[in-house]
Amino acid sequence: MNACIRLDSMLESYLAGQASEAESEWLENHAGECERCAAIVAPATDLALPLSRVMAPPVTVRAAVLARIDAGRRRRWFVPAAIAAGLALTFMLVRPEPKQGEVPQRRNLSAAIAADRAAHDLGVLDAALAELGRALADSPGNQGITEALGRLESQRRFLESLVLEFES
Amino acid sequence: MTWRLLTLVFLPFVALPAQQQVRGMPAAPDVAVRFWIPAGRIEVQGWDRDSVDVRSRAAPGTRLDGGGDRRGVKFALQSQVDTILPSAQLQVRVPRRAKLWIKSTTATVEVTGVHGELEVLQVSGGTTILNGRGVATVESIDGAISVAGMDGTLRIRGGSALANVRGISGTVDISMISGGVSLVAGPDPGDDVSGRIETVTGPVEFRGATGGGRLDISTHEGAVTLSLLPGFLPLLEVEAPAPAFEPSVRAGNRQAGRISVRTFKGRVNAGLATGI
Repeated sequence: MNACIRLDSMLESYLAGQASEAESEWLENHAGECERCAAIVAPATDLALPLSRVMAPPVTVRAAVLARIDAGRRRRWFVPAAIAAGLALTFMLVRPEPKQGEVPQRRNLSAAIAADRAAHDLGVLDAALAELGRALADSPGNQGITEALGRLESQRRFLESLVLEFES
Repeated sequence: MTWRLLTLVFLPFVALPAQQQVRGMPAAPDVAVRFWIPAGRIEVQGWDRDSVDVRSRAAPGTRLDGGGDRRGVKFALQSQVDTILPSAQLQVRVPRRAKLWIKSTTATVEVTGVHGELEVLQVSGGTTILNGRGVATVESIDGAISVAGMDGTLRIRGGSALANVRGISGTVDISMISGGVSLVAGPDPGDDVSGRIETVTGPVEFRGATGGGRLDISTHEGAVTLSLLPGFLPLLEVEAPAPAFEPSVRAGNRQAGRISVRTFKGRVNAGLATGI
């Protein structure tokens, strides 16, 4: 009788799906042995058994779904890391050439500074060489212009060699 | 972002005190001395002793390596990282007739009283030569060059900075690109100056007298200004576009020397100097 009283007190939580596994097991065993309690439990469970218990998936399906969820959690860090690594590799392989006036990214810092500082005067020399070249075309054989061209070319060679000096 | 990270990484090195080092070694009178100092400052003084003395204060993370024997010594600054230039403050004394070679990127170089051979290679640091004698060569991409007192041969090749030479006696060979040249030479006996000065767009100024020497000046479009001492007027030879030459002096005599100017399109002005 005490068992039947206990079942009555547990029935509401059992039907709501809030009973523990041990309580549910005890209740179902008792209902299987006691006609009185079976008469109470059977119709109630037909109507009120929680949907979650009625539609619970087989254990194998549940395990497979949980396994995929876990795998998805693991992929959360892997995907951004893979993208970052890919971007870094792409940047290293297709790094753009520096524009004029920018310090080129060389291994030797002194060489980079030297090349940057010489860029302006190399431009000055090229402009002057072009101007003298046009003047010589207008006055072929002009000795003064020819000598001036030689001096400018010598200055250009000097500047380039001085930049190279800092490569080593 | 990268620079912020680098600053955070290297800030502790900057904040730490520099390391001081003193090295002394016996040397021959004409010992070859070589320095590679990318950044900082190096002061070299010629002295009448048979030794090389090096006092350095290197920045944290930088060390001065070097050594040698009586015939030659070599020092170089080394850094533990290649993202900053190794930097140090160096005070060096060498035998007066030493053969001195200094290579620098941005360091300031000052050499006083060296009478042997001097060669300086620079990117953008300033170079000063005081009371030099013998042969001095300075090659600089855009660092300023200043010479005060030189007896012998002076060679300067540079880019965009100013070459400022005072008190020269002997031979000059100065070549700049966009940088200017200012040369002042005195009329005293023995102060004769000869040689050549050339620039592309940089201005050239000569003040004083050649003392009987011959000076050739050429530019592409750099202006040339001659301020000549009365009583020491040299012969003038000018090849320039006619409107560009505005001489207020023409006469001169061969004993006072000769100055030749050639320019493609620069202006030339010759006048009297009130003093030097």
